[in-house]
Amino acid sequence: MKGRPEFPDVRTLFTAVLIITSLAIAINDYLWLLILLAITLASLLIAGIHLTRLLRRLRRYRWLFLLIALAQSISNGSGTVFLEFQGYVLLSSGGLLGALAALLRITVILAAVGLLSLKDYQQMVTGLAQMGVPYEFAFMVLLAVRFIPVLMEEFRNSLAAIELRGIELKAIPLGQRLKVYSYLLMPTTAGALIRSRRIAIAMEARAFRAYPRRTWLQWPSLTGWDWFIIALSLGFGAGVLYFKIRGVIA
Amino acid sequence: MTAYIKLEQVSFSWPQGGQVLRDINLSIEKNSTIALMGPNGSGKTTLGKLIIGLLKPSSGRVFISGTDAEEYSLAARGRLIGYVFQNPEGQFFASTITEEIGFALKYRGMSPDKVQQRVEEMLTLFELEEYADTFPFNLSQGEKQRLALAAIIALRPGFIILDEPFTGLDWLRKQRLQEVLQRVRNEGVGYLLISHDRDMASRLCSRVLQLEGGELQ
Ligand SMILES: Nc1ncnc2c1ncn2[C@@H]1O[C@H](COP(=O)(O)OP(=O)(O)O)[C@@H](O)[C@H]1O
Ligand SMILES: [Mg+2]
Repeated sequence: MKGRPEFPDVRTLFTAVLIITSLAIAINDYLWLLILLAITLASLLIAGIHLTRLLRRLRRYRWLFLLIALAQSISNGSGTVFLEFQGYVLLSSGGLLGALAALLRITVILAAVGLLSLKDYQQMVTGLAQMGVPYEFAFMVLLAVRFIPVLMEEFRNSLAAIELRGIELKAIPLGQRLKVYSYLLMPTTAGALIRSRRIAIAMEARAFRAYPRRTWLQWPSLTGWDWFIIALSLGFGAGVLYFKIRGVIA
Repeated sequence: MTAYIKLEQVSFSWPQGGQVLRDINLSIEKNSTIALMGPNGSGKTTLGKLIIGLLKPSSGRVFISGTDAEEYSLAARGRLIGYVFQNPEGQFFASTITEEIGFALKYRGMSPDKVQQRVEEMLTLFELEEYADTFPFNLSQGEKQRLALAAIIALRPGFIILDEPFTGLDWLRKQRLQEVLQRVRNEGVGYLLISHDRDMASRLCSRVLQLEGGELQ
């Protein structure tokens, strides 16, 4: 069945997100990371996606941010040194700038991924299949992605279960606390394994892959706007990469 | 005697809409044994989670031991009230049963000898000795239920909330659990027993509450 084309198509979003995230990883130039962020935020706003969701996601990953910033700051000891410990540079201007770039990079990536929230799970599987990705593979990848929030939820629940046994996690020294966190990976992974086994059985029971071809509920085609955005993204990506290789952009 | 747990005009709705509890007023004394009954989906688990702090009331207030429960951390609430989840799997985190029972005792500062002693006591009481080194997730439903209870009772809480603890137990195990709860009761520890079993409720509890249409009858 052929669906009514609906701008933007999943393939357009995939292309744009892929190019934005690749550039965010490749580029080290602050100005260009900021431009990338501005473009992504503008796209989110035009698409009608609320930025509060992005903010919430950023807040959820704040520990990861801090860790990455810290790692950057310690590994990069260039520029003016602010803090030193037994010959190791802990904090320097170069380190701070590196940390800033890392934060900018992650923000761009999270914002770009937010664009995908325009589409539901089935649309994404279809989109991947239309791009030539084998259906089983697309299905598995998206199933995995969809379970990440569930796993995080489970992690939080286990954390609550531990605290409900009267253990004040904040009062435990960091070393021991890490051990407690490692405990939490246990139920989370066990839960994930049990669930995936159930899903596999349920899919077999419904004759998943029993026939070589499958029927698609929708098989949308690309609109002129889609082609325009895809071309624009590719052109922009190629242009920026060209300047990066020429050394104009860091 | 002042109430150990007190709910004042507590209402709860899910963010997606759907009001579960409406203006609940409830006062529970420390050594009282109360049964909470009601049809599936009537909000029994929700009420338990509001008391223990896993959910926050949409309006109204919860007091524990005379203090607004908002002022307690989750851990502090857990020390005042033991909570046995309806789905026991949800509360396991250790890699063996021994560790599951002893974990919190150890982190709450009990000496290793005493922890060992308490764990063995619980293993015997709940007939789990032969599974001492088993991975909790591999237990049968009834064994999980017993382990969940053992891990909480080991902490000797002043009050316990049990969410449908009889589910999945065979007749004999139900009798055993009944004996355990009677013993808990005799030690002066109260509990809120969420259950469908009217006989069990009237045998084990001095007061039976019925939750229906979001209100306590
Ligand atoms: N996480 C949730 N999100 C939205 N609704 C929920 C959630 N958990 C339970 N509910 C709904 O809340 C109501 C009360 O559930 P619950 O307290 O578990 O009932 P009971 O324990 O009495 O069977 C039910 O209608 C249930 O569908
Ligand atoms: Mg329930």
